[in-house]
Amino acid sequence: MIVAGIDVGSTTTKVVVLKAGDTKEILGKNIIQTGFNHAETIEESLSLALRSARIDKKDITYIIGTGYGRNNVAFADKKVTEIACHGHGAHFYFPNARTIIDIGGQDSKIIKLDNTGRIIDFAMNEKCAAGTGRFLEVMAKVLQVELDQMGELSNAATTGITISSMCTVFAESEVISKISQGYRREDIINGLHGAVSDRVIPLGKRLGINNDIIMTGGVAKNKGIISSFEKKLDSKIFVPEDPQIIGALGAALIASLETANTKAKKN
Amino acid sequence: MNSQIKKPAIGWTCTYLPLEIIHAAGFLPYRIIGNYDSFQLADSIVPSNYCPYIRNCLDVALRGEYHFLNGVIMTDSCHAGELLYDAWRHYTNTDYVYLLDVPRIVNDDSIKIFQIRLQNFIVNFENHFSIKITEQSLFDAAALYNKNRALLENLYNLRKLENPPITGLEMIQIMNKNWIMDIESFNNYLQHFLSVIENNPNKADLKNRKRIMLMGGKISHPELIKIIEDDGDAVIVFEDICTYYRYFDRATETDQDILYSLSKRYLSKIPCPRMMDDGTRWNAISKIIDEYTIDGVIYHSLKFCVTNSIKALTLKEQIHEIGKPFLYIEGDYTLNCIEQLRTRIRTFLDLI
Repeated sequence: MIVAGIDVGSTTTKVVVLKAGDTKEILGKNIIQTGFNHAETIEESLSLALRSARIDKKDITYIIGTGYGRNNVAFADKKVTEIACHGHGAHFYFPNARTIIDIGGQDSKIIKLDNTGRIIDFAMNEKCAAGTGRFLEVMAKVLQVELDQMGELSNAATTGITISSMCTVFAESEVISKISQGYRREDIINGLHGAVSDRVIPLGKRLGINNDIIMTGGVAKNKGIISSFEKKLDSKIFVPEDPQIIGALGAALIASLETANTKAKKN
Repeated sequence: MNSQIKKPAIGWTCTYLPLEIIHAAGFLPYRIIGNYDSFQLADSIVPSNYCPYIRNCLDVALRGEYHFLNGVIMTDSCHAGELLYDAWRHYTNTDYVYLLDVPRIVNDDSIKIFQIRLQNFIVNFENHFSIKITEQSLFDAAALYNKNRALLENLYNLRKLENPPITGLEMIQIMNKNWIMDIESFNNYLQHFLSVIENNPNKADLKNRKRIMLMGGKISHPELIKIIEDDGDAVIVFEDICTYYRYFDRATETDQDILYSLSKRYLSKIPCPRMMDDGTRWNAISKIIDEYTIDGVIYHSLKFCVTNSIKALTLKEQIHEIGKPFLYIEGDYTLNCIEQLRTRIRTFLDLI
């Protein structure tokens, strides 16, 4: 049986096509920019994921939509919040996961799991881009670097810089003043990564951060962010192979549970 | 907004103001709730990182949309309330603006002090409007409001049932009538409403829904309630927010000095988070959680509301200690960022 999870995020839309059953296998996946028209983005991403899986849409038995645009996945059998999906997705790769740090385009979330993978509590950033992927995107533009170079550049930092503004707009002016003071790009980027972890860690401290800690979401691709968290939490952070698709994967995993449940009911 | 108002009206903001006095003076107490939308005029006076409710109400006042009010009475319930008083007095043409000082401690002394403040307020009001508020009219008003509170209590008692007769959305619609309706008409309306639901107890099946208690400050717009109830698996059975229970808890005694009794009633009702925490509030809340068989608590604070956000910290621990889930959310008194709240609320309801 084949199922799919579609995660319509603020920045990107992700689709995972999954072989359900006892041994689960990712058959196909896709990540594209979320366009203004959610319906078109969803169609495109799904058809690309299906092509990569060499599967026809009619062979999919169950689809779950998630992410902030989940209600626009018109053909979904069910809609689930991305918090639940990241919980399932992270637990699939790391059965010992107890705390998940998920940083996406507009949200940062801390999700706490019990030893069965069930979500027991969560916290989210408030209505503000501070400490999110959007924050890093804006800063990358100011610093004239590509977003995916930031991690590597920050590893070459030599001087510690503190970016104290939480607000993306004010932090941008702070960065501009650091540039005019002659600081190196690498050091500023390192300071920005510190600003993100400083913003997210207190969210987690409210719930209590337990090992193992997993990081998911697009921002987890940034190695500089990971090492900033590892230093401040004095703990290893586990990152799945493709952290950006964990929400979509979680949605597909819930879809596979749903089909198993309906099957059990029928029998 | 004012087409329904048939008699001179006095604006009010907080349930620590004894509305009986306004009614006894021959005015309609009209609750000021703003419009959930505009801030531009207020933001030229007040910093934008200030209570959004106060900024919105002030903005609507600056737009002249409260011109029909003959006066407004604020309380110093929080610093934002005081600021609204200052700004309203300075920047609008409202004829009468008064700030009633409400004690934060409840004991025999503070009840006597609040009684004196109510007396001073009455004298000030009488002089300004050249009227007389008689003792008899205060007794009559107290009887009307007591009846109102008893009717609301009856309605709330029905919400304790396994299958509550109304949703939280219906409750907010009922209460929103209360803030613009004459108390006698509202009593008649409530009485009729109660007889309808008592004769038709099973109109909707809300039996298997998760029972939610909504807590926090100012919530008058139905949109937040809809997010909680729209998916059909949850129902709000109790509200501990600025009006509601804080409005109808406890009757005013009518067998002694009426101002003393009003003072006692208003200070002894379930305390708002602005009051000194002596344990009374938690005792009342834990009893409510029990009586209404609450499955989960959703606590909504306005952004920058020091009173509500700080008091939520200890409350969260207390509620977790009795094994109930607790969700803290923040709003900015607009309907603009509703989707982020939807994600939090949906996840929370799934966890229950």
